[in-house]
Amino acid sequence: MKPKQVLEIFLGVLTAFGGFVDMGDLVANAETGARFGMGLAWVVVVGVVGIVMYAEMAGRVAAVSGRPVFDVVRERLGARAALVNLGASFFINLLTLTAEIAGLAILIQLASGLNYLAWVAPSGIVVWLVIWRVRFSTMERVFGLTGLLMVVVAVAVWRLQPGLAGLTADALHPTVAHGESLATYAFFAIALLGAAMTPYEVFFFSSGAVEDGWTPGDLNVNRANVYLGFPLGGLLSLALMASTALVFHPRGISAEQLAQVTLPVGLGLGRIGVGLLLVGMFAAIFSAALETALSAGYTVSQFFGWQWGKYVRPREAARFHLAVIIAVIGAVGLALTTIDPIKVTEYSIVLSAAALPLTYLPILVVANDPTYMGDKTNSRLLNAVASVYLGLLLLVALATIPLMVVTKGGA
Amino acid sequence: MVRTTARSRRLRAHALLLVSALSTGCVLPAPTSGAFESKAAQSAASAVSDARTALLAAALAVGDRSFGSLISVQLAESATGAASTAGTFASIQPPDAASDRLRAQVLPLLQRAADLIARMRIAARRGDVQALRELRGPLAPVADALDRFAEAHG
Repeated sequence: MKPKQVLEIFLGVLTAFGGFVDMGDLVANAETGARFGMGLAWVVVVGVVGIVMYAEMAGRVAAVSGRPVFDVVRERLGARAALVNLGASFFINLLTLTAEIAGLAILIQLASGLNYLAWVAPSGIVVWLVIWRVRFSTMERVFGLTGLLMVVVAVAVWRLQPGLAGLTADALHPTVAHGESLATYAFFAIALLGAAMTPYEVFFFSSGAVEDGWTPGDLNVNRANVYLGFPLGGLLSLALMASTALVFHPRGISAEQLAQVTLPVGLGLGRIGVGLLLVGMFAAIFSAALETALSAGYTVSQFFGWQWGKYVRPREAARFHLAVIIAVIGAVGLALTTIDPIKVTEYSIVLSAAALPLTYLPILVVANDPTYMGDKTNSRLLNAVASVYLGLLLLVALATIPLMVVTKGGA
Repeated sequence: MVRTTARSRRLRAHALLLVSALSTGCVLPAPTSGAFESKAAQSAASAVSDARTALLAAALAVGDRSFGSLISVQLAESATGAASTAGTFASIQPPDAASDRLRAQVLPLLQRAADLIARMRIAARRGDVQALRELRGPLAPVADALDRFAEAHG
């Protein structure tokens, strides 16, 4: 392997690592750590294994067929099935984008002291400008790599509890925390799964593979990104959970604001740690805002068969850029209604969980179709594990709304 | 048919009442002493969370372990949360004498916590670290008392 290829793979892994965490992961992991300690850590592991498996399939489909997942799904399953998928994905994507843009505005508020609502529209404009002006690979690398600064959370956890023995023991012997019901435990498990396996991630990953011009020769890059980058990102999610499990859970503090995420880091590492965390969070959330805005354009354009992507000039993909602009304006408008950004995030991840089979079943079908995949279809073992996951996702989809009602949204 | 229409009208009227009560921020009365006790415990637990978040933020400010603007925003969030909890609980109609006693026990604690956190917010905005240090003293026992109440009645 040439040094340039090694560097490419290394940077890809780091980018996937730094870009893994978004508003949904931040909120879900901080909340569950505060309420349940490490009692739900196993769900993060289940979610990461699931996203690794299905993102690898999505990347492989893109690399082998030269077409993104959504494009192939529409052709393979027909317009009607793809339209259901598109409707659910676009709506959840819009909620997620709203949460990301509001999250950016809150972070600027934390640095400036000015109310976050003043920063919502400027944040949306900057997200759009970056999509419009910056090259895909530059955009992906800069924000993904800067997002790595969030590693300070793991360092802070280590400083607060060297050895991590207590945390590991809690994670390996999960129990429903004192004062919490089984239904609430199950609801938060679903939220964590939704945060780890958000549908936009696979749409973006496969469309990004086409943007980057992947061919079957890039399957190693695909494997390295998902097999190394995503699990490292999952460790970051666990570190977030551990930070609030250590500092908030014993004190009876619930994590309901983004600012609270910085408190354990301040306790463990002081101002420098908090400064690095703020920059890392900003980059990670900005990266997620770019991905969700682009995913809106990708899914709509791929469904209608329009020219899409940043690898062509904007005038050649005008309808794609229009879809992105409409999504950004919609998200900014929704955030400006003063709707609680944390609640939007919670609803987006829970609804994501309810819609997971709509995204992942078609990927499994296409990844097994030799017409598109040639000899690169799934192995029997992968199909067996992926089918078990699909069964789990169906159960989750059926249980989400009843649990949401019974627990009053996890209250 | 007539009966169905009358019933649906009644249902609509009830739904309208419920929606208007929720949308205007009115708090519906707790129908039983058990429900009132549960609301009291939930309010206490929520105030504990706000109070201890404020204590943590103040400790970071005193130890110069975070940024002024961040601490200020965090304390403003905690102050808003604690004031809202105290205000909402105060507006709940206690259904009987036992609930009156619970109310008398917890409401002053909720109001005291809200007041102390609000004073912390003011101190943080002014960059008055000394005042933040002094306010931690009285807030900690209030948070502990609320915690004990939530444990006993939750």
